[in-house]
Amino acid sequence: MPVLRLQKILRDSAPKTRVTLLATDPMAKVDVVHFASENGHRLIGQTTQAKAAPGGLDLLIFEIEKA
Amino acid sequence: MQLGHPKFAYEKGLHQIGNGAYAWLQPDGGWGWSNAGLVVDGDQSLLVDTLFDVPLTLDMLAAYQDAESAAQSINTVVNTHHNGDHCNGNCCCPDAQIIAHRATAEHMQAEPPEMMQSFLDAAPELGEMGKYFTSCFGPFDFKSVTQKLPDTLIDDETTIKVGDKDVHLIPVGPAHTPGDTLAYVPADRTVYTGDILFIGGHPIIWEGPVQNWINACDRIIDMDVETIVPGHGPITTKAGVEEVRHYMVTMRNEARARYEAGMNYKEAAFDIALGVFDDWGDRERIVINCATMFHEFGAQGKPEITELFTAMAEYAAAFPQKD
Ligand SMILES: [Zn+2]
Repeated sequence: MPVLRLQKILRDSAPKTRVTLLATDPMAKVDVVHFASENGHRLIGQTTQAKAAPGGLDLLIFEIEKA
Repeated sequence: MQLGHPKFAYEKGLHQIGNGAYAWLQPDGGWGWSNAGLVVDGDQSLLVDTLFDVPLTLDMLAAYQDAESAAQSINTVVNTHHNGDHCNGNCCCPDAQIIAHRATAEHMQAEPPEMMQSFLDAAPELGEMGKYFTSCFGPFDFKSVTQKLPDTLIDDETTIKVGDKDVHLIPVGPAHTPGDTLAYVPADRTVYTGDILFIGGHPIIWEGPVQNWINACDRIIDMDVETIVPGHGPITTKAGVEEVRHYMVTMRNEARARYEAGMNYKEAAFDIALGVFDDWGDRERIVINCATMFHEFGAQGKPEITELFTAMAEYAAAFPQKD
């Protein structure tokens, strides 16, 4: 669960910390963006590397700055 | 059961309430198909809510201008809550003062139209959830919207003026959303309720607690009003408010019993018989409602948005609506 991982990392980090989150579940494109926005964290970047993850899955890369 | 006000047909477009009050209705009142209002006195004009995108809002403004010259330039916009189907069109009123509850303004910022567009862009890869999401929000033009946030924030009950008319802004949230606000116009014996009322469709309990929603219904029932304009569905009377109140009391009891029996929110949603509410639209919202109520009862965390929409898509497929 990418959002749970992100939540855990952000909980233990200082404001303005930048975090890079990797995910393969396409639902993350909704849930990570929604979670960040609802909690005031800034989504700095969101990219997709086609078939770059194990098993030929697309690799989703989110860069987030903690509020 | 027929809950529409007998004086008003449930038809798309402008409805004259009288004394300078109007409603704009968008049947069938499902996801994103919201209602809005216009109140004028002399050369002053106030909107209660704008619509989900710019083309829809411009259509509505054109009809307002045809009906009332005071609507040529809108002085004030009140947003009843932060959902985009009640505020995305704010940018169509560049010169208006935009008034909303503080929580409404905060949550508006957290749910920009660009985010909805990015979800729609991702939807084709998201299976049944994506299809369901697109069936709800695909008809709207989020690319047309430039978000315009409220510039005047209220924390408590506030009375503003349109010409000589009072408009009471009455915060009743958190219920549907954190900043829910009623707009009550005593001189017109009219209240615009935003999404505290869905008439003929299942209400969406995004926020709760349910008791606030029940209290909001009681507040409306105590008003000296003849015309009640809901956020979705036909113009109604106090009978419609009683039904929404009945829904809240019934569903809270049903959900509570299943929470105490050890079900999870999704099991509860699929298990609850909708009874007298079975013919209301968008029944799958029972999924969101159970998730929110279970959280209120003490369940840990709230499900991710895609989990909710996935479960709603499953519900809609499992229990297709009869016409
Ligand atoms: Zn709405």
